[in-house]
Amino acid sequence: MTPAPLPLVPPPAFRLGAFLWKLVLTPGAALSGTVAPALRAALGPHLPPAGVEAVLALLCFVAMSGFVTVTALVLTLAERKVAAFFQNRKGPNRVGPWGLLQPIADVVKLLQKEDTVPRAADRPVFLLAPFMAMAATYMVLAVLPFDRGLAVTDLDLGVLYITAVSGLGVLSILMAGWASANKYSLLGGLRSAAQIVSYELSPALVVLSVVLFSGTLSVQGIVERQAAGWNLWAMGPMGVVGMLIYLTAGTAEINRAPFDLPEAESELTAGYHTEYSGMRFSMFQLAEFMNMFVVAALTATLFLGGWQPLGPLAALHIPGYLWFFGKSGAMVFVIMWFRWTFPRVRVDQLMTLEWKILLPLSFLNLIGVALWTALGMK
Amino acid sequence: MGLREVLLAVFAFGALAFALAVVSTRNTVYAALEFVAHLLCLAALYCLLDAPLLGVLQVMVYAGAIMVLFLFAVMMLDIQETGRESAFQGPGQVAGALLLAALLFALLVFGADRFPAAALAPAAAPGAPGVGADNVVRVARALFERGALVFEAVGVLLLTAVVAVMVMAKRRLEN
Amino acid sequence: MAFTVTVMGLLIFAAAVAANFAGMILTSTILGPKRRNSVKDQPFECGSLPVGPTHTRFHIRFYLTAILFLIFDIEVVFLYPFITILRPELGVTGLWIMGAFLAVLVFGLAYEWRRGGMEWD
Repeated sequence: MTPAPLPLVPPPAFRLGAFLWKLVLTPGAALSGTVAPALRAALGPHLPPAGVEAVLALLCFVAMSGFVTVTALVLTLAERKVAAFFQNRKGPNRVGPWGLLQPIADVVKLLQKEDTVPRAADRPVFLLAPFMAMAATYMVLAVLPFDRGLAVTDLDLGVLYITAVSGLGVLSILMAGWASANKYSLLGGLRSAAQIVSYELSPALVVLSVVLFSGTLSVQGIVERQAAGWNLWAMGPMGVVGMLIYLTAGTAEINRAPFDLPEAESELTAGYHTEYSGMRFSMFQLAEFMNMFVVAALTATLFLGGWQPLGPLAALHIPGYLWFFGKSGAMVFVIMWFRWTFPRVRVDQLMTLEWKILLPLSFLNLIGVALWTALGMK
Repeated sequence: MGLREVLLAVFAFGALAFALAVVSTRNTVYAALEFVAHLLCLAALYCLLDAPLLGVLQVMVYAGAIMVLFLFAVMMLDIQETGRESAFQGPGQVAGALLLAALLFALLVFGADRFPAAALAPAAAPGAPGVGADNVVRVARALFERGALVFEAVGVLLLTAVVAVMVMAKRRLEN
Repeated sequence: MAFTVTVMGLLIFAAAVAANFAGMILTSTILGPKRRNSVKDQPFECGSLPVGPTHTRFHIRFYLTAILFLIFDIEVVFLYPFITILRPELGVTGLWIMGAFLAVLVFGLAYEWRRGGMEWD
């Protein structure tokens, strides 16, 4: 796939724009799919294969933690700016231009906070819980396809891996809730865990329908199959329903408003992370923000074609990772929008929504996709 | 000894160590968490032995679902009431446990030959790319072509479980 | 060998996450104050003194949700390998096999629904 020259010559007013565009395009082309082979070729003669892969894994981690740090900072600011936008106010605007440096100030502040552990708390479990939350999120990021050939690893069981590893996050919440020696934390943790496990079912079924339609369990493979058309419409009505189910259940699975019952401050103070402070608290926040990104990115990957361009816009040669981040960003915005549109639901409404509406609906959706593919309507 | 063997040894040792920790820890929540670690070691072993489907399902079902259930149960019980005494009570218990372990080991050693492993062995060379997808296809064939009847029986078993759960839980609620 | 290397890559990745976590905690331990007092040691229960034991018994419905999740999760797990060979190999026969399996489970779901297992009461 060598990029053909732009079909249109931009008018003079867009020259600067075109120049900036090129600045973005060039490192993108270098990033996608050329870094790893080049490194392998360079290191190959000096190290055993396992050593080469070890170096690559470490580099991947460095890149990924840079990515996580930037994304988390952007998301914390975006959360406040979007909230401000919906409430017709300015949002953070004191630190740096338009408050852009606000998240950095927040990090500096959090780093200086005391790391308190309540005396009655179960120390080892209390200290380990935030790590568990962070690890589960990071490990899911390892298979996200940012672009063609650009992922930490492309597992051929990627979809199953995501379901399995993201399911481990619930353990961290139970650990935190139990170890805090606080009734509200424990109740919040149990509630949160019940909510998360319930809302793991319908996304799993929706993912199944996508797997059935694409015929592969690899996340990259699913994106590749969407070259002709995004699953959103390629799957017929089931694509739209599936995406709605996935986005709703995903929002509930990450405990975000309007499904933020585990943190319902009016009844449970702050739920399972009431007793956490400083960096350990921010680990939970980091995991939560990254989970929001993961849900948005997976929605984009499964239904909106991931890094694939939109039909005729392929002629623009926008790099795949920009498509990926654009779509994920749009989904993040939708999830933030939910928060300011719907009031918090009650626990019984929450459970009814999953067990009586989303779960049967996703079953029907799966059967619909099975028939759709069996009838050869694809 | 290649990388694979080293990793296998590391995880086998980890699995054993955590399993021992599970049975010797008094605190039930700790034991449950150690069990999670044990299961993760097992999952890594499965992956290294070219059964990645089993490895991933191990994490998904055992670590992600069954252990959540265990933790719910353990956390809802009054934790102070349990675990006063040591997990091992007297030499008789230890001897019994060792005897059972030896029996199980013998069963595995002599039974391994009889298991039709060829059906599930990957077609490609061990560890070749695509082994994951191949593994899934082979498990699926074994499950749905030769074992279709057993599979339906599993469905009935799950139905029984649903009914049992409802009967037990609802009786409690009504009282 | 390739898959072993993938496993190893993921392990190194996980180890790096652990190192990152340790680094962040260490930084905050160095930078942050360490002043304990009796109020900080107490659980924060909205300013009132904690009453009664913390680890009390909780409602059975949490357990019920978890066990129902487990049952349906196992069902989903069976569906994954099924889906991969449905179109290339099983075809219509496969639909009958899975149809029977799902019918049994839908029956279970209906029973649960009727008995009120889905009510959070």
